[in-house]
Amino acid sequence: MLEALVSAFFVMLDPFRMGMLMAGVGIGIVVGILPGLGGLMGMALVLPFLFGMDPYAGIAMLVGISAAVPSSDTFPSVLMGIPGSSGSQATVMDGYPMARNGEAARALGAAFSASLIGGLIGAAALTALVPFARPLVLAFGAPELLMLTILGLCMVGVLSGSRPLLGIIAACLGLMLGMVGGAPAAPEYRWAHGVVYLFDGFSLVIVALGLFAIPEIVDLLARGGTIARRGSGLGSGWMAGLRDTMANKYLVVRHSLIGVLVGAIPGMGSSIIDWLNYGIVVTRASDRSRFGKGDVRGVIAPEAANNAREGGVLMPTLLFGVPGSSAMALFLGALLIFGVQPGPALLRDNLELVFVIIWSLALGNVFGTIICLALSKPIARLTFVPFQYIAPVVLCIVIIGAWQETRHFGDLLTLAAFGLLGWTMKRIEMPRPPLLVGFILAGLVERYLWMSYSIYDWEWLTRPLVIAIAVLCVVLMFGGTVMKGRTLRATAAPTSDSQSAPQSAPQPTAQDKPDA
Amino acid sequence: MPDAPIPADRLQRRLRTAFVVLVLILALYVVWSAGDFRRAARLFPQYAGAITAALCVLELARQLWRRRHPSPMVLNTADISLSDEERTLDGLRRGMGVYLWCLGYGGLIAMLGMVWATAVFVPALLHLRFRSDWRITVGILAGLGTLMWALTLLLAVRLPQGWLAPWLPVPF
Repeated sequence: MLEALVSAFFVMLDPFRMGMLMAGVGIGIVVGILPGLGGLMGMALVLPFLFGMDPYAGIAMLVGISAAVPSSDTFPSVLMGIPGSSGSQATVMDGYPMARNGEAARALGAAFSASLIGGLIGAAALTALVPFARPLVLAFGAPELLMLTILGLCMVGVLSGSRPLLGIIAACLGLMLGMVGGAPAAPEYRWAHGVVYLFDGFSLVIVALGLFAIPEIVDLLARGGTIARRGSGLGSGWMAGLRDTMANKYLVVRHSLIGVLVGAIPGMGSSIIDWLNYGIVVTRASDRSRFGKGDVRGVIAPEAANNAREGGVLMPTLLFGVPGSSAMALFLGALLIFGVQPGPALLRDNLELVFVIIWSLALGNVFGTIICLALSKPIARLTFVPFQYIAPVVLCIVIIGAWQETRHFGDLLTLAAFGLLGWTMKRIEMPRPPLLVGFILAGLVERYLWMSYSIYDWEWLTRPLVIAIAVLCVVLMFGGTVMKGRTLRATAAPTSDSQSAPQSAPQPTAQDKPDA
Repeated sequence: MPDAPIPADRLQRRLRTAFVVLVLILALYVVWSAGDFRRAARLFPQYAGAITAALCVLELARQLWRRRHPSPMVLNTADISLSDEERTLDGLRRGMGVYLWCLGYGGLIAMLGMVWATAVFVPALLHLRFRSDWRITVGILAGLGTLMWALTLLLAVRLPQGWLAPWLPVPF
């Protein structure tokens, strides 16, 4: 185990892999800063260019994006009162009032340092879990893995929107779209209707780009104007922010651990974790008078949890092959592209890769924080660029990315069709991440179902662990729905009541932007 | 007399109902058409389709019940992405207009290829829709040209070639 940990570190020291990690961090920072774009879209954008690349480098790049977004999305939250992603909504509550009080630099300094510590705690927790989880995971058979996959589907469906039933329907729609093409368990092409392009099914890259990139581009262009109003600048007080984090070190550790634990439950969106931690820090504080008016603890707690969550969401993703979030669903897809089977096989055959991912997460957090601190001023200016100038570039990359799949005009047609589907779903507030998760897991679910059925017939349903996971599934579905409802009700009141909250806070452009 | 505008939430509700009905039809089609496959290929589609259809029926019943017993909306911090104005029919039309622009770009790519389509689409979008400054347009075009050149040169990325590509000079 220790040997794999050390060897993974040396694997990561390769200049090309470090360069790709840095590139990922850079992309993550840009997509995190621009409300409307996000980690999922960033990953979707680079995915087509990863084919044929060294798997370690490609995976480092994706983890770099995922590690940097929770840090950089703080910029718009603090400077403009617009959450850069769904995971930085609560930061607006105190970060923006601090900026309006001329303490933007202090808020950013506190947020970045808390994010860094949170991210490192997340990576450490993931490392600590692997030795304990390995024997357990290796004992799982196809029926248990099937149930875990179903658990992931249910949780993502239930927790990614305000209407759980719609979320699960979206996941089922994803499953059905994932069935098109060759059947995994039989030599048969399904619903291809003789169209050669459909024999391999829809491409994950195109589905992800269509569902998440096209709708954001369309809506931001339709809205027009700049992404954000001009703020009052960063001011000074970086060191004061760092000192705030040090002064609240127990708070940082506590909320990082909460972030890891809650993040490990599949489907717990970053917004839930963000608001949950904000709620906890407010209720546990002895002096609550400054919350909502610029209390630095209201910035530190959600930011620490937000970054630590990345370690948490990787746990079910790597250990069980169940995506912890929608971005992790795409990451799971990327692993499959590289020929890596997540879950028990990964822990058994490729432990080094697991540790490469953990190192990438830790290093990505460090690099992301350093870059955010060093380039704060120019980075902040990006948010003032009118979107119509960014849109052609993003659209161009999306189309070129989609085209790399098969270099067939079917790629562009599929992109347009899934773009329309994603845009429609966004319009009717139907959660899109469950659809992607369902699409990615369709093959796995079918394979596990067929294996379970052909080995055990329907008796697999009576296996103790299967029943236990089924019960867990039901409990978590109901528990998750209740918990989410309570979190939303608890946070709805301060959001609407708070006079100091910015006008734009309840209407982020980044919002159902999938958990980044 | 002009039609009264449809309230945003009602429009959204109607669209949502239509969407669920479409998914229901798709699920029933999956269950029905999967019957032709061999057992290993039809087991999962039939179960998944049947479960989806049942869930759609449940959702439609829930929507019907909600219509008769309305309840105040709970603020959902996770998926508020559209302003009230964008939820209206006008907002829908505007979004659809931009989507058609993107489709037009796709059509141009199919005709002219990526490079020439971009050279036509970007100035058209920025000038006809956003009344942008020419200098900015030229700057963006230069940036995009460099990006495409770099992608083809450094990552050996292939760009879409249109039907008219054989008759058009392509710089890279």
